[in-house]
Amino acid sequence: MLCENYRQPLRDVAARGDSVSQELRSHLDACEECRAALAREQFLFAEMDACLRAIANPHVPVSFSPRVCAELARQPVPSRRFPAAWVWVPTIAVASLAVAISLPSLINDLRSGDSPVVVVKPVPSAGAVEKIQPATHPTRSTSIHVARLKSASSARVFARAAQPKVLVPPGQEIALAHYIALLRRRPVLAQAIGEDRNQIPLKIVPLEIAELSSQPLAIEPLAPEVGGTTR
Amino acid sequence: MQELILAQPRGTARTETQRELADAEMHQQFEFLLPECAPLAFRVARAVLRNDADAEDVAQESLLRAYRSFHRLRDRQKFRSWLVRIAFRLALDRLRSAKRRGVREADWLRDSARPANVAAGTRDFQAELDRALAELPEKQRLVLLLSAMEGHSIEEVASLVGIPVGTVKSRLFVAKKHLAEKLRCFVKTTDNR
Repeated sequence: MLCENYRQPLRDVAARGDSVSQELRSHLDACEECRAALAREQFLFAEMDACLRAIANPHVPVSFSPRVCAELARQPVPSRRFPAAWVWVPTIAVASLAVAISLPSLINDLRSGDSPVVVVKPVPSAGAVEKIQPATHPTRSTSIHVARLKSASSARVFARAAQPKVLVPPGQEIALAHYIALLRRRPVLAQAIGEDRNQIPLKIVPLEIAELSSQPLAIEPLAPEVGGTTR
Repeated sequence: MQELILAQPRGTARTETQRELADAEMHQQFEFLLPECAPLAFRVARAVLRNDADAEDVAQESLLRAYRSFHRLRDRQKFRSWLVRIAFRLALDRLRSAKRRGVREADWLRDSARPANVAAGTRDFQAELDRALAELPEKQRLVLLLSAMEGHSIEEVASLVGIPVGTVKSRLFVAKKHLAEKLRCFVKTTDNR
């Protein structure tokens, strides 16, 4: 093997300070140049180690330890009970600031939660909107399937017991939801419609039920079979 | 029915006394560790900063910080490694701030601050070694300096830095090879003479 191939292993041996392997030893016995190279590398690392030891082991000044002891004596005994005031005072200040910043938005959220929300209930029978019944009597409409429709503008659905519910015939829920969404988007229009409705007197047309007529059942005798049955 | 509880007026005083006793005990423990650990902090700082005055300041600051947080150290056996890390970090911070201020790092080489027991190599060799050391990554530099300190075996360096022995060996190997690459030309020159 060429000497160049042994150079790197020789450097590694010198860097690690390991013993030379058998193969390397046999080459070193035969090659004077590689022996010299190994000696150079070992000398280099020995010089480096000496300098590093000199750097890493300086003479500690005599005044150092008394100086540290004096400084320690001036230090207050570290408390393990509560953090110092400079820790918790800023913490409380930051927390208060965060609450103060988020308070208006919280109040706005609470106020928006008071706006009337309509829960649409489809009624099995066809017809006009019969009545607007407050949801304070939930037992009246327990048998009716409640379908909540979310408005397009708002993702929030409030199903509060104190809010009014509207009975809607099937097939008109979507139209009513769109109408409610429109009114929410245009509060001025909603207010105008509400004022108009207050001026129009409501008329409740009584239901007309036609009289029922009953006829007695008539039993007619069966006609005799023609030709009889064949067996 | 009301439940009556007897108040213990001496309870708080007793607790206070216990705390004071614990604080005093902690102070004693720290003072016991100080003679051994103060030179260690100084050497770590000195190895990074190469300046006695700066190293004293940094070592003192490290010890004071360690003292202030000593009650939070659960395992007192790890105090040395903890202190080494504090001192090394503070020394690096000081070195960086000094560099930012434009202070030349190798000024100490021209001063008389060099240890008198350095017999190996020439001044240029040591200057080049110093530059090569500064180029080393922090982890390798710390391992190299700790292993060069007297009385530190590979295992002790591993426990001080908090890494496995194999990692210490590999870091040492890579660091020394890096230094050797920078310093090989000096050995050739010496050899050719």
